[in-house]
Amino acid sequence: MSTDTLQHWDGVSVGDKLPTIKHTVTQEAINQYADASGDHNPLHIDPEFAKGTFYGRTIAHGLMTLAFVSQMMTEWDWKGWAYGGEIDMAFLSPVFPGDEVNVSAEITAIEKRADGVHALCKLDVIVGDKTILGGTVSRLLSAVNS
Amino acid sequence: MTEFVKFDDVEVGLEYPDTPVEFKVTEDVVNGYLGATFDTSDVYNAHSTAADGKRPVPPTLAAVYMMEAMLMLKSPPGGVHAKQKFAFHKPACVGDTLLTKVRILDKYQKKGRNYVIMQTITTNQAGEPVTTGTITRIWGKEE
Repeated sequence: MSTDTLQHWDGVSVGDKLPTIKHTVTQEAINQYADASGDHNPLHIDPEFAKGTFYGRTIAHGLMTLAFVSQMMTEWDWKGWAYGGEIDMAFLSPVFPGDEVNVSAEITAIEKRADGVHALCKLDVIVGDKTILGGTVSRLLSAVNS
Repeated sequence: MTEFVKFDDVEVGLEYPDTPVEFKVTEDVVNGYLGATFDTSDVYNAHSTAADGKRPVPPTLAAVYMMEAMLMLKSPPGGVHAKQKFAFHKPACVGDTLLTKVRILDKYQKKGRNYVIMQTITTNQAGEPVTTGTITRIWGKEE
């Protein structure tokens, strides 16, 4: 299966920046996410338990931060995200209650594959100068049959 | 699989459960997720965005609907996500019934921590692929 690499496609270019997303995470939001997701791991919602862990206090669910990345992709183009989008990321640092999470990304490649044209982006998810998530996210720019 | 599973007992190649976990995408589920993640996107709060007039949900709701299946293999307390991949094939919509199965792909130890890699495959009520996920979990320490 061959992949052609492009610099531009239909008004989208390598080097373009995606819309940015910013949220301050609170313990209340973490608790809400635990209820919404069904993940009641005490590391996220029980301060007494969390004191005795590696982190020393509660941390947000990593998958909660994933939602912020999805919001950025949705603002850019929800259909290209929902039909053929991909994300591949590592949770590098915890998000603590009170942290402000900033999500941004830059297009690093445009690839023409068997199923269509995809834009690949390098994620930049930070709290202050600390990187929270590392990885890539992509959306479908054009399906083969569209 | 109701008790914690020790890392040594995690079986690579295991597929579970025999009957896929069923998840009904309700208004309450979607509204709870949107609220908890500060998501005010019009696209997920409208009922006419999808071609068939259904209300689509954020693709990353996958982090919710795959959770019950994934957590059927329980880590001791303190386990966390290390890595996550998702491929989104088709959006789920309010009213859908999603079916998820899990396969253990690998496990390993690194820097004193135990890791388990799992794959989740989710389809909708029509049998159409919705999401494929690959999760790397740090397994909680066993007391």
